[in-house]
Formats: sequence, structure tokens, C-alpha cells
Amino acid sequence: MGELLQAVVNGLLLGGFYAILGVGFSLVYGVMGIINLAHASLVMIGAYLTFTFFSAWHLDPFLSIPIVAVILFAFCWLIQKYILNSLIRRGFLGMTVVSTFGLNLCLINIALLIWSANYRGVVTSYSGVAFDLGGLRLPLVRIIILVLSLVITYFLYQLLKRSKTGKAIRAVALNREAAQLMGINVYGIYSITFGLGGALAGMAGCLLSPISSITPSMGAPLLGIVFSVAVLGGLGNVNGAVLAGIVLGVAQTVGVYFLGTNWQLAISYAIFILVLILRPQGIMGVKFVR
Amino acid sequence: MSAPNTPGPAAITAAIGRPAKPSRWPLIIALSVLSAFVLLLPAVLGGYWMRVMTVVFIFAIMAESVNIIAGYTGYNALGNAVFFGTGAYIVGVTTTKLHVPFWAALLLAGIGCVIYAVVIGYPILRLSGRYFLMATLGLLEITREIVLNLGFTGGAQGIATPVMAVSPEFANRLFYYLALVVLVIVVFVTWWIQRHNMGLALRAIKFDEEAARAMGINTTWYKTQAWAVSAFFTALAGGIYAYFLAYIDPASVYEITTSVRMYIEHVFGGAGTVFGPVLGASILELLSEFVWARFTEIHYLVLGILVILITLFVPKGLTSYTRRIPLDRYAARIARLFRRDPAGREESED
Repeated sequence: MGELLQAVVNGLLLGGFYAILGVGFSLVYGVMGIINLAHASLVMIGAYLTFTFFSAWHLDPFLSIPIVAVILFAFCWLIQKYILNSLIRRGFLGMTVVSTFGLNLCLINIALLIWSANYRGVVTSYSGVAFDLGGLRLPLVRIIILVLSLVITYFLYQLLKRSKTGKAIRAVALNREAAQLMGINVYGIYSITFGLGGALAGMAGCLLSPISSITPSMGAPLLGIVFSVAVLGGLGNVNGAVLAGIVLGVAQTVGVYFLGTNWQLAISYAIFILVLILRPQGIMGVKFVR
Repeated sequence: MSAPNTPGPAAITAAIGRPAKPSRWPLIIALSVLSAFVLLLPAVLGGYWMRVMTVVFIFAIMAESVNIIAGYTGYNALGNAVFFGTGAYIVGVTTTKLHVPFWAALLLAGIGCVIYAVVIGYPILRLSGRYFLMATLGLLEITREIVLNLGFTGGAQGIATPVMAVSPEFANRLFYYLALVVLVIVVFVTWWIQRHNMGLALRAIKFDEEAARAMGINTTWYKTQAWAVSAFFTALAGGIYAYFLAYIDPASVYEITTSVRMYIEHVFGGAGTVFGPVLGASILELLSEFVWARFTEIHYLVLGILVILITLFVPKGLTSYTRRIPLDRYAARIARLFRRDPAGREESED
């Protein structure tokens, strides 16, 4: 029983991270309809950048979040501006998924060339610290990750809700033609949205770096979680992503408790496919932030 | 009501002649030259290139299979390698554990994947295309995880399929011709589908699914059928591959890269055309072979850039360019060379 409770707590701690992992993908998909297959590889690049800053300047992994976010925002902004927008303009939205897969291959190979296939890790001075709460183990790093995830998603929510750019993003997502008629530069908004998606992926990479080993192929197992969060939470729905992340995190850790670690990936994909079949509009039932 | 002096359709046809039917000559000539070429190729190729060509055929089969569901129907089955892997595993398990002969195992693989496609496809093909795309990717991953964790599949260690008791040269030729025969069949089936009601229904779904449904087309059922046909041939490709390579493991046969490779090949050649996917697969696989040999370190990078460039510059596929070439005129000129009657010469003077 105590172990089951521990599994639930682990799931809750993981849930915040899952939310931030999926929300960038969800945003990009919700606004533009682009299925970004490179999303998980952007997470990988974010983790590697964190590792590089940590090993070169001893920068704390959580302090490198803004730097990584800016770098990945710029990179993704350029990708959208010069590659994906040109496809969407000519009416080949369906081809963007293939482009992002090409980008995915490039990113993996570049990571392999720069950082080699060796397992890398970020070990901080407080990595081993954990609190004991009535028999439950609460590692400090995971608590920080949960808190930061919630803070970042809150900022994202406020950005979409209140700022002018955020309002423009929502307008484009709801009705592209109407937004254009209101004088919104739709393709500019697309570039910003993809940049935001990349920045969120990079931040997820920063948060992941202290608790996971970093390899060029670390992205592949994350993609299932990314899909599940996006579909479960509703596309572009930030609150939904948080809820979906937590549901998924708990379902996964509890599932692993009953079935064993071998089935961890299968569980996240099974949840994804079941939600698609039973309730494709997600748990919240809302397509986008209103 | 039309004015009395307006000419009727019959009069218009009489005045301007029937619309010219596109000549079939270019296709017939090209196909006979091509078939003679691929049939005689084993006589000159060494073992290595025989195997390369077999892989080219296997990918051409898969690209053509993706074409049926993605190119004609507009449902981008990006995770179609799930049937490649499952086909390979059905052949692997039945031949090693149950000692089923290869031919029967191949057929079992096809039937098994058709059942899989229908059972899974009927619920998920009711989703819109984008959700279907993600669902197929999810299916690919979850099937790999299940195969990895089942006892009788050998887990991560994989399965070594039985090696045929024939000389390597003979085995190479056998797989070459086997893959070629399946490729010809899948091309023929695609051609048949395109020319019959099913092809019309599929294209109607791609064009406007709501309208197709309003016209009384059972869209979900047609989509499921298209996916089942696609699954059947992809499974055959996987089954041949399992025996051809003599070893399979979950990580290599259920690979998303394989999946996207067949998808991009059908797009590159020409989605929704009969011969486009075969052309695309042939060019890209041979090119990939070249890249693999020259740039081992940056193989993925070169391939990734190539994929991006293709989507940017050839999003409609290579066959969209062949329509601009006046093939009919060349064909008529060639046909005239073989004609002896004076009518032909008169024709050439004007």
C-alpha cells in the first residue's frame, strides 16, 4: 500500500513535467495544425545545451532555462519562417509533418556529432537531497521540477490570455481568415508560435536534464508522452495539458507498479490511443484557451 | 431553355471532333523496356547489388501500399511500418516456432495484418486525418512494445529466421524475383483500384469527406478497406524482409524511420498515382544506398536535409512534372517510325 501511494506521489511529481513536455507540441498543433515530430528532439537539444552550460560554466540546470529558451525560440522561429511557412503558403500543410521529421533526423545527427553517443548527465550538489514525509520519499529535484513546470505553464497561460501577441495567437487559431482581416500578420504569428513551442521543448529539456541521462536518441520514448498530453488535454489547451500531464503521470507510475517497468512506454501509448478512440476532444473538451 | 439556334452537344462534337484520347504508347513502351530490364538485371548484377535491388523493391511495395491509404484516400498513415514489423514477426514466429513453410507463413502474415488493420482501423479511421496520423504512430510504438515484452517473440534479442537450404546466389535471385512479383501485383492492384468504384470513392473521400458521406459513400468502411489492402502488401514486404535478412528484432522492424521513408518515397514519386511511388522509392533508396556508403557519420543529416528539400521543392511529386512533358507527341513520332502506310507520311507533313 505504501509503495502504491509512493507510485501515485511519483506520478504527481512527474505530471508537471509531462505537462510542459506536451504543451509546446499542443500549442503548435492547435494553432497551425503542424504535427511537430522534431519536438522530442528539441527537448533533447535543450537537455544537451543545459549539460554544456553546466559542464563549461557550472551553471545550475534550472538557471539555464531562460538562455536555452531564447536559443530554441530563435532556432524554431527561423525554421518556421524559412521552411514551414513557405509550405503552408503554398497549401502543403500536410507536408510539414514530413519536414519536421527531416529536421528530427538532422537534430539527432548534429547532437551525435557534437556531443557523441556517450551518456551524459547533470549531477548537482543537491541531487541526492530528499524529504521524508511519513514514509513517502520526496526528492528535492523533482519538487523543483514540478514547481517550475507549474510556474512556466502559468506564465504561458497568462501570455496567451492577456498579452497582445497571445490574443493574436488565439485569434489565428480560432479563425485564420478573420484574424487576417483584423490586420494580424498570420505568418508572423505562426513563426512566434513555433518559436514558443521550441522554447517550451527546450525548457522541458532543462527540467529533464537532472533526472535523466542525456543521449542523442533520448527523444524517441518522449514522443508518446507528448502525443498523449496533447490529445488528452485538448489541442492548444494549457490548463488541459497540466491536467493531462498529471493524469498521465499517475496512470503511468501506477501502471508500472502493477505491470512492471517494461510496460511503461506501452502504457502511455495505450492511454493515447484509447483517448483517441473514446474521446478525441480530450478530457477538458475544449479545443483552445478561451 | 436554350435559344433555338444554339448548337447541341452532338453538333459541337461533330464540328471540333472528339477530344483527343491520350495515347497509351508511351506507357506501353516504357513498361516493356522496364520489365525487360528488371527481368534481365540479375544476369549482370553481383550479389551485393542484387540485395540492394531487393531492398529497393521491398520499399517500392511499401511506398505503393502507403499510396493506397495516403495518396488516394488522404489519410496519412505515417505509422504504416507497424504492418511491416508485424508481417516480419508473423513470418519469423510461425516459421521458427510452428515450422510453417515460408510461403504459407507469408500468406498468414498478410491475412494477420489485414485483420489487425480492420480491427484497429474501424474505430480510428472515424477520426479526422490528423488524429489518424498520430494514432498510426502510436500504434507502431505500442505494437513494438508489446512484441518486445511477449515471451514467444524472443523479446529484444529478436528472432533468427531459418536459412533456406540453397546456394546464396539462388537465394538472392529467389528474393529478387519474389519481391518483384509482389511489387507487380501491388502496382496492378493499385491500378485496378484507381479504375474502379473503390478508387472513385477513395478520391471522393480525399477531396471532400463530408460530401462523399452525403452522397451515400460509407466512408469509414472504404477507408478501412483501403488500409487493409495497404496492410496486406506491407505485411508481405515485411515477411519477405524477415526471411531475406534472416534476422529480425523489434527495434529494427518497428522503426519510425522506415515508416517515414516509405511515406516520403510515395510523396516524392507522386501521391495518388500508380507508378509514382515505385519511381520515388527506386530513386530515394538507391540515393540512400549511395549516401549510406559515402557519408556514414552524417547519414541521418544528409537524409534529413534531403527530406526537407524534397518537401520544399517537390511537394507534389515527380510525376507532376511528367505531365508537362508532351509524351504523346514523342510517342506519336516513334509510332510513325514503325508505320508503313502512306497515311502516316501524309500526317507527318502537316
